[in-house]
Amino acid sequence: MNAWMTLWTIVLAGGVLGMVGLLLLVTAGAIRELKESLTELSADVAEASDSETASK
Amino acid sequence: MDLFETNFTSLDWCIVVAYLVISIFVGIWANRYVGNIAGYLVAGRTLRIRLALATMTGTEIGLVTVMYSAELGFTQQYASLYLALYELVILLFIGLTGVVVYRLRQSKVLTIPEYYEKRYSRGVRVLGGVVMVMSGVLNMGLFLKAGALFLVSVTGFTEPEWLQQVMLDTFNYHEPVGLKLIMTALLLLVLFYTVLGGMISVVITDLIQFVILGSAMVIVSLFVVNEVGFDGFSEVVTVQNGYFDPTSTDNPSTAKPDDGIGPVTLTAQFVVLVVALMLWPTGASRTLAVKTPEIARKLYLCSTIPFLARRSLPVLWGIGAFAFFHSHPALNEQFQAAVQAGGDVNTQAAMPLFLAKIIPSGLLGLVTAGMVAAFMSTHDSYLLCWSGVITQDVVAPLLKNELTNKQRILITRVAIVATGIMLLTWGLWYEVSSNLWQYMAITGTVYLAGVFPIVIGGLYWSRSSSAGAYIALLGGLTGILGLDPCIKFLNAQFVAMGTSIAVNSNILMLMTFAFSLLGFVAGSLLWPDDRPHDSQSATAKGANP
Repeated sequence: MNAWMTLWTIVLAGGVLGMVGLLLLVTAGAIRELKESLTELSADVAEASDSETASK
Repeated sequence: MDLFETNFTSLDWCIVVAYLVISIFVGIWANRYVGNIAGYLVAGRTLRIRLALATMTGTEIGLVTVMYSAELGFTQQYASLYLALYELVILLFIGLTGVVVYRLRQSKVLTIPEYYEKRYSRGVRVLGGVVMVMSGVLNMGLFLKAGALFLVSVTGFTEPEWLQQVMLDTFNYHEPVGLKLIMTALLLLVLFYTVLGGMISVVITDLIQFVILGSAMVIVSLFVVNEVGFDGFSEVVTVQNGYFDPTSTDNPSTAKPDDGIGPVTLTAQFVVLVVALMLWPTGASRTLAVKTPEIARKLYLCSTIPFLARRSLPVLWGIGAFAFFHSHPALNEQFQAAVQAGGDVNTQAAMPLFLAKIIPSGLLGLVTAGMVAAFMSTHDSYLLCWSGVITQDVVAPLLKNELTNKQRILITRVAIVATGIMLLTWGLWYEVSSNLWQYMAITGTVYLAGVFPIVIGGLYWSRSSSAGAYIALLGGLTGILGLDPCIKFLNAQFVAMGTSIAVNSNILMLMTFAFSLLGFVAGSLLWPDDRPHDSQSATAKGANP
């Protein structure tokens, strides 16, 4: 196996292991952060509808 | 074994349909969170690092990425992994230094053309917006076709006889319409929930898609390795003349001479990837949607892993398909005959045809749902990005920004539908004769060649001027010459003139970048702006919260 094939094997293995690691490390935190983002957006929507009502 | 034999059954269809129904439900549900244009286009800038990373992965691992990477794996085998290596190195560099992305997020703009106005002028913004949309819509012009080709190949879908009869009787149409119908159905589905929910529904569905797609990619890779075996992957090089050295211009797996990668392609692709990873609008829109500039930098650093996966895993499947077809000569003959015959089968179909035979029913449905997820997550983000540019950077500046939030959201929704119709038309009409990735790189160059000097110059060179920016944007349009019909025309002209000159898409891409860069520098030096400009100040003050 020459240097090119060693490099490509590392790249392929890195891709598979990287994806597994990413799924394990990111998923739970991302769901929690989504809940926080939706809470903030809900507050924005409520604020926007309040200001619309006030302007009428 | 027949070429179109598949393990896809009714159970798999149920899994895919259930997934699609959930996606539609999410689109409707997310609509309640749309309060203003910032909420619609950048999710109110509420994204934190993990969520941003998951959604960026969902967007960037599109079905089209899977298809073109697998196609390269099938046609260029291991050598095609140089693109994965490039992305890894470039993203590490951006993530460690924060070059461009940090300052861009500091500028607090919603889109890149908005930065053009802040740093240069309103005219540069409008022209920049038009060029960006043109390049972007052309770029995603073949997404629908690639997605439909995957579905047709993996499911073994054949159109019913009654439909063929109806097409013949009503429209006197003899060609198969199955692929076209699937393209239309996929587009309608994406349009539906993108129009409803904007970036918020995109973020939620991207998160679901990240989990399904990521798992599907790992599972498929394990099946491919199990089917081909480590010896089989080794034999690709030792027995089947596989291509593994990208610096060589000869691809030993084909009979055609000099159809490999080589130094010119390596250089052109490096330039394209450097600029695309920094400034491709969909990636940039995610950068602009995160909470702080520091998160923008970290996002790039963390993106090295999903970007490596998005390039390398589909290449692995493509190499697996190459090994599989070569170890089944009768099947390989059928496949080559189908490709030669033209029609809907081309080298992109090799990977899905291969997966349809090795993944068991049930799991195949999950994998297909993952791939449909990949298709939709890219499509929705891209549609939202281009239509956002039409609203914010073309229509609103032309109307002197006198639009209300509701009007902006309405225009964006109309632009999404109009873009979708254009995509369908282009996808049905245009036949790509080079590989799919090359088409993407060429159409991307139309935008990338201009944006590179304009943004880098704007952020780091105080003498950058509007005149230079106009020249760079117009210079980028010459990238269109890299499309197959234009290259054939140009080379025919050279032959008619009796010269031995012959151009290819990689040379034209490099020339486009050089032309835009030189034009930008010359224009800025020859016609400086009247007002003195500090490049730092454009990043510190922002019009948007």
